[in-house]
Amino acid sequence: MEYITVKINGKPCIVCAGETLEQCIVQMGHNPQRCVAEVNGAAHNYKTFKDIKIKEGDVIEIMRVVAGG
Amino acid sequence: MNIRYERQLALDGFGEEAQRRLSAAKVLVVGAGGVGCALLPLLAGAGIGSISIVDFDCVSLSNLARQTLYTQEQIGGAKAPLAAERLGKINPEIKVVAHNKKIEKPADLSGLLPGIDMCIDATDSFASRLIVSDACADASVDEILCSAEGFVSQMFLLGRGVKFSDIVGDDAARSQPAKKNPIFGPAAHLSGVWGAAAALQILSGIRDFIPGFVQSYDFSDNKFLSFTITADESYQIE
Repeated sequence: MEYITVKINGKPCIVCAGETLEQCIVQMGHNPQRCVAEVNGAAHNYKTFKDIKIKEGDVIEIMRVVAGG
Repeated sequence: MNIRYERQLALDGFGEEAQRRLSAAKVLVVGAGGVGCALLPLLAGAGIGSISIVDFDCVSLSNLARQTLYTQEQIGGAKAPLAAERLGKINPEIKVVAHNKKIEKPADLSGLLPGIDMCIDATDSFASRLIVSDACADASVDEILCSAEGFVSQMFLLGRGVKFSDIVGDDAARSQPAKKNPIFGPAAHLSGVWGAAAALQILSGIRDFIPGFVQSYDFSDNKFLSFTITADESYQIE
């Protein structure tokens, strides 16, 4: 298994090479259907997470949507 | 010059015409809890001409830490009329209407949306927020969604092709009732302040409505995020 280093929400993380953004969000314990994210400045929603392959050095911001008030 | 509004009238880009637009504006606020308690006095104080408040809940002791429109003596009272009464005391020059009503499907809001310039969702669950968003889309009413949980505040500008279901795609969310999740009072208020700011700027004509605009702040790590989501599912970062 090959691993790569990325930055997620400001912190360095090691993930499997070839992993999708959707898999990454699931591994963080979040429901991808309730998140929006950006990868290297490009934003994505649940509709496109599975199409985004994570690469070495990617800078990822994951925003878990909250609904309370 | 109206002394009540003199400090905002003096703002760059504001003035009498912007104030007239606020006085003519009709806003529907769904939810008078932690978020609603922050935004409602700001809307009233700034002179939004007509404010309708929808809520079915009653004041409880656990609300008082963040729901600052209410007092201990009002525990057990219905929030919508209590909030409306308070706003009327803040600004007697505006019209405030209370609807003590539960929103369980888009049709429950459809009768309240005609003629509304902006709907602000200050409810407390994914289910209610999806319902409000669907109702606003059906009525072609622009929406500001303000939410909070834990230390996090969020705001979304929805409408003109962008719905909350473009952001939350989880079907289970449609049947998930409100949870009593932990919440930091200032986080609820910050999202309400953001919602009030957006409503006042947009309705006064000093800021454009950007459908799909999202912002989030986390008090636990001081992290701020901002996206703009477009209806065609492509995204731009601010």
